Amino acid sequence: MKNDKIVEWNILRSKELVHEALNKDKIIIFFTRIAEDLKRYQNPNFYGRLKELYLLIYPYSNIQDPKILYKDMKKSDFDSKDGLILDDEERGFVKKFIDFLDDEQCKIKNKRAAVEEIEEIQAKLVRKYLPNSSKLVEAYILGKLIASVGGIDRISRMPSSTIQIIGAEKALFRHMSKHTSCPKYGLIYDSVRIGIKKGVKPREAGKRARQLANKLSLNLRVDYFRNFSKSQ
Amino acid sequence: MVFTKDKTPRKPSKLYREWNPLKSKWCAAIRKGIEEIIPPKDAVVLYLGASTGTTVSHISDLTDEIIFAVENSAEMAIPLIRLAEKRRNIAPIFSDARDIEYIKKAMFGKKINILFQDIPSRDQVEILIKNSDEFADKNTQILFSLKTQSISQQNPDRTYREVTEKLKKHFLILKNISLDPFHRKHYFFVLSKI
Repeated sequence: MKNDKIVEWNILRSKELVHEALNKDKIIIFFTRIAEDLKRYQNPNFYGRLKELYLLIYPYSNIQDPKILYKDMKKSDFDSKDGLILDDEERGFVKKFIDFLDDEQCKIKNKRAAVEEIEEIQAKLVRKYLPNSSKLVEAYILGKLIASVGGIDRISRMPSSTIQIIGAEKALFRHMSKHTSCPKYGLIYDSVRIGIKKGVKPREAGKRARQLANKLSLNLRVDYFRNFSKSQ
Repeated sequence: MVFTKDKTPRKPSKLYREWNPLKSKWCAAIRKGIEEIIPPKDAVVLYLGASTGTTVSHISDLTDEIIFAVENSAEMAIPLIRLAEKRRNIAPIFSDARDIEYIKKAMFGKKINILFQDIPSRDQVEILIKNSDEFADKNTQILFSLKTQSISQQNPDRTYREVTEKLKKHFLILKNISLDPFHRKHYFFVLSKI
């Protein structure tokens, strides 16, 4: 067989396989990061985040300029052959987010309304795809956990002791190198079930964090193998 | 400094591109003095662990034949496929490097001259042995870049000694070198089959 034909076959075949492998957790990560940006900065522009989403839906397009990309995104219906597939509800969410944006600078027009709406959208998506584990932990914490690791497939393979201290990496490595005390909790610190804000003492909170992480790791696996995994 | 001649048709045309040893382990090994691993013009390469294709683009400048680039992650494979559409002599294979059946099917019985492996994983050596049993013969040049930290957190010298003993059972070690100023705790091997 000639080289050109081998290259063409491989490009077509791997495009199909990549299309199958793109998971829906990317859209959860997208909205979580937007919610975090809105909390962290006063009035950020969203060209970079929009480009991330655009390249997931249309991975092989040649558009580089963010302003043209933004205009293209306003018209498009998010229906692609070789990228991430969104259902009707999710398309509505993305369109709602784009309607919040300003045409000239790609910044948010009415921030107070937008923050509430985006947090609601993020919680809805998390509850849809992770029904079991979202009953244990709040939706925004779950989103942060998945976004910091990089995907639901990675976090479902982690032991519970790792999930307990995701987000406390600096303290963990300080403990390993300089033998300071070990961190008890990471991102799950804010959860109501640990109850630091209600006045639970740190030692008791450490125990609760361990138990919560144990149950969370089990539930994440159930959700992953029901909704995301394609193996039989 | 190492440069490769640019083949892509682009408009302000650059004749040569710099091959950065800080980003590519193959280039770092050339800079350390192993010059026989510069691929000749008729070399067919199987590259395991291609990622976004930084090194692969330079290899495709050097050879006129085909390169099979194997990558497992979807986010990394998208830029690789875009690169393959531009260059026309890279065949991107979206698969696990342990899945030999699929790689064999995608190669259509082509014989390779160079096998390169750069997968920072715990069973790195086993993957190399599996693949070389299937695709390599006595004349193929086998290049292997070892990341000691992904195998064990112990002292890197100790891991290096353990790995060399493992490799001696299956391969003839022609050259081995540490990539120290460019990549810390990394080693590079030039092997051939017994």
